[in-house]
Amino acid sequence: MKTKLSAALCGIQKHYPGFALGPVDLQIPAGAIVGLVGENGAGKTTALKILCGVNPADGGRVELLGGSPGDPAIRARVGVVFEDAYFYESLTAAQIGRAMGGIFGPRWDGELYDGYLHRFGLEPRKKVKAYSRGMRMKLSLATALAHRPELLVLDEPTAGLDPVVRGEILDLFLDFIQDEGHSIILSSHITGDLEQVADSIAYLHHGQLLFQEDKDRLLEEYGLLRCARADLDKLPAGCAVFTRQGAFGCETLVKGRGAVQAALPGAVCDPATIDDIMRFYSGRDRQ
Amino acid sequence: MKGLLYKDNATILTSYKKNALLVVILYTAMAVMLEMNFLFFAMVFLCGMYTLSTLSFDEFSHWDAYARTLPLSPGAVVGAKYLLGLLWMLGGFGVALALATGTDLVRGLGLAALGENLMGCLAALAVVLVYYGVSFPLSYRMGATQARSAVLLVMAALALGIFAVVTLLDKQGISAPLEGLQAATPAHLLGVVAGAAVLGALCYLASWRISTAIYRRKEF
Repeated sequence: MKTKLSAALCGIQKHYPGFALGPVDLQIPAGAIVGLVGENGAGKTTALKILCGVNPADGGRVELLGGSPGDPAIRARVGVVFEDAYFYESLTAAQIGRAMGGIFGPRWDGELYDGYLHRFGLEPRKKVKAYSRGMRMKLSLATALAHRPELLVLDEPTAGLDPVVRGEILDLFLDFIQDEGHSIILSSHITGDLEQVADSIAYLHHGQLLFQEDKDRLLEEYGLLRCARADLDKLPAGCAVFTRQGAFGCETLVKGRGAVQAALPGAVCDPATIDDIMRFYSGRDRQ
Repeated sequence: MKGLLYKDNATILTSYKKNALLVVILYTAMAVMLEMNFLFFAMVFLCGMYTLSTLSFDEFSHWDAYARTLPLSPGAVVGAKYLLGLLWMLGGFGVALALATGTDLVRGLGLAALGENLMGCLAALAVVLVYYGVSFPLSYRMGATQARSAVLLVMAALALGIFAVVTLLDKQGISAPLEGLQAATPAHLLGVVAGAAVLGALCYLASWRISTAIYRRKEF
């Protein structure tokens, strides 16, 4: 059965001096949370900006909720949080709510917005500049949610937040996704958060999408193999992604953990985390 | 557009409330004590400056990247800035005229200088409309901070251009325009200044079209 998509990047390319993104093919299925990972400068923000209409792509096609990001009516159904793009900090949460009410018109639910402010413990009459980083992020989320979007596009929503606030925000994402028509794509360096909530992981590396895979399958598939270098020759072809040689043997990121364990029954092959996968892929490309 | 107007207006009020109050008190005190009513005319410029500075606030908070994700067209985003700028300048015009007239009344001069005050305010409005008509597109093109110097250069070039034309005309023995102005009645002068304000408004309108085209192509 074909998966219903909320949004997709199809062969998207973008060129800047010294950086090129793509071609990237990325899918955001309806009812799913897609985690976008990658090193600094890998192209995550560029991809998200193209997805939600901030900048046009140089090539390829963007499908957003059955339309195009160039259409304001389509963008009205998307909630966006960028790490550093928002209202000026001299405004209060109440003023931001009134401005957004004027921008979204009848779609804006003032009561829902006030409810989120209350839930997050945000004082509506306090200026944004008096808020902590965590409070600002919660305010951005309240703003992104109060017009009842179908898709949330979030760039580093948990960066710099303490574990308690991060936990609250992740719970909010899980609440949002309870509606099967809702979807989220979020970029994050905190891969532990993605391991908690994401359904699939997309890995951008030097502007290229290395993979987009179901998170559970990814964590099941990849492993960290610790063995002698000579043992690596016994692995099936294409299993070893990259090997780091240490003083007491070598550590290898392998794909197809089952096949590896069958080939080397005595070796230790632990499941790899998303961090491990990123570290080894970036190590391979530095060579 | 309603939300954009509210956002920028609220930003101006929260950022400049005290500054505006101080300016009104200071200018009124100076105008009364030093008999310098023309100081009030600068309020038209100042009110436009408040609006233009919202572009700096937008840059600081990366608002434009965020605005592109909202259901807003580039025309609406830029149009709201221009409309708010115009409303603030007209507000400055009204306040300047009221304060200048009020100061005359306090000084016991009655309404004798009302026409002169009106002319001063209209002339200020004409110049200011051209000034911001130049400032907005340059700010959208180069960024608010970098545009400041460029605007001064453009205005200096404009002033030099006008001076050069007048000098050339004078050398050719064509001094009728200046002589005409000198000989004009107050009513005629008011007409000339009102005409200049209309030209300023047309320049501001053309500037809006240019800024929208720049903004549409801009990436964030």
